[in-house]
Amino acid sequence: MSTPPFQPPDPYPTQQSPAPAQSVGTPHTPDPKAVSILLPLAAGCVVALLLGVYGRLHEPTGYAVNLIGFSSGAYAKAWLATLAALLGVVQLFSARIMYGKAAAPAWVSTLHRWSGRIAVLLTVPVMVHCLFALGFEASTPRVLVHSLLGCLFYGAFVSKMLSLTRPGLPGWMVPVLGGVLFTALIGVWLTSAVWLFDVQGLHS
Amino acid sequence: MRGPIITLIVVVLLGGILLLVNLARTPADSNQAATSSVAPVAAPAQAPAAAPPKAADPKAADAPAAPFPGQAKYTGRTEGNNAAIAITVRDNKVSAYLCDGKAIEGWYKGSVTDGKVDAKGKGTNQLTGSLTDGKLSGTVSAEGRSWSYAAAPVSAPAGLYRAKTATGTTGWVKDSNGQVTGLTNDKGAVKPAPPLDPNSAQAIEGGD
Repeated sequence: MSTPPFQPPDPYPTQQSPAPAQSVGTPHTPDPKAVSILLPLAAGCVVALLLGVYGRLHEPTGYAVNLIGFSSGAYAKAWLATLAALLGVVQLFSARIMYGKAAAPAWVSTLHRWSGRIAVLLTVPVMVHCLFALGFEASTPRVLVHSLLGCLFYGAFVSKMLSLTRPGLPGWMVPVLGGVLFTALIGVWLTSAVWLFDVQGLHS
Repeated sequence: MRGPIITLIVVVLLGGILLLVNLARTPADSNQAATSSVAPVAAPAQAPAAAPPKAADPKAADAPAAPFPGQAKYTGRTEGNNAAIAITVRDNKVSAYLCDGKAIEGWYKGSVTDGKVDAKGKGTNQLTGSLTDGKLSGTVSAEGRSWSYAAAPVSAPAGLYRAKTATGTTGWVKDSNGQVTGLTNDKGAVKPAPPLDPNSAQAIEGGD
């Protein structure tokens, strides 16, 4: 029992801040912290909703310009999504190191930033094709889950990007948003690319 | 701390550019077709009455190539007898379907200009053709390959049929001998088509 009794738990230093923040905010002025939490979340919700509404209202064309030049548009999408999912796993593990007890080497956060950027950029052509050619659909559980998670993914992405630029957020916010992003990405991938590979075979 | 904002802007820009490219490359005919398919109940009822016996477009009458009838259906095969094709024309609008019954299929939408069929499908898929002695011939491409085809005019029940269900979009080509070739496409996954039920499937005319 030689441990000092008031040593803060190291990995979660900011979790202790709610108490002082509550004492600063008066009942009649909006808590600045609540605002800085809610703004990115609200922006993410708006983006997710707009994507879903666009996907539902836009009459699907059934086809879209295929910029990649694969054997078929579906397989181009499936492989892009698979690459993004792999980078998503890189995101998960690099985040694990960054939020670990030991100080993370600088290259880990660089890896996390760039694998995330590339992953999202890889999903953009897939998303545009989905929205333009196919739209938001609810005809089967698979496409409904896929449509919902696809909207959630970009909402969570916007929320996370906006949260990263705001100082003084609770320490759990970015990891939670990152977790939502990863879950949505893997869900979207399972309900599209993995399904396609299963039905049509694993080829390019 | 501007990195995430730049990331966000780049993602929005890329998405916007891709969307604009898609909008710019989408032929206007497919938009018209999409609009008409919003009211599928009204379209077939009005169409036969509205269809003039001759091509309404004055350009078609002056065209060097043979003008198309106001409403016509053609079925045929691609070179080497690989795939069935059905082309429907109504008021110079074209809807067509290519299908080998195994793996290759494609829908095409477009128009007739100066007696020449020009229709586009998914990706770079394209269909061209013109009339010679009442028979339609030209080239059609799908899955990065291209074939020549020849198709003869047919009348119902031969023609082009389509059914959209929860399990995907199914197309059938029924030729003048009654032979049916079809495939179902469920979001890019091609599988065998169910038997053609003329009561539930929609008979496709040009522009549908």
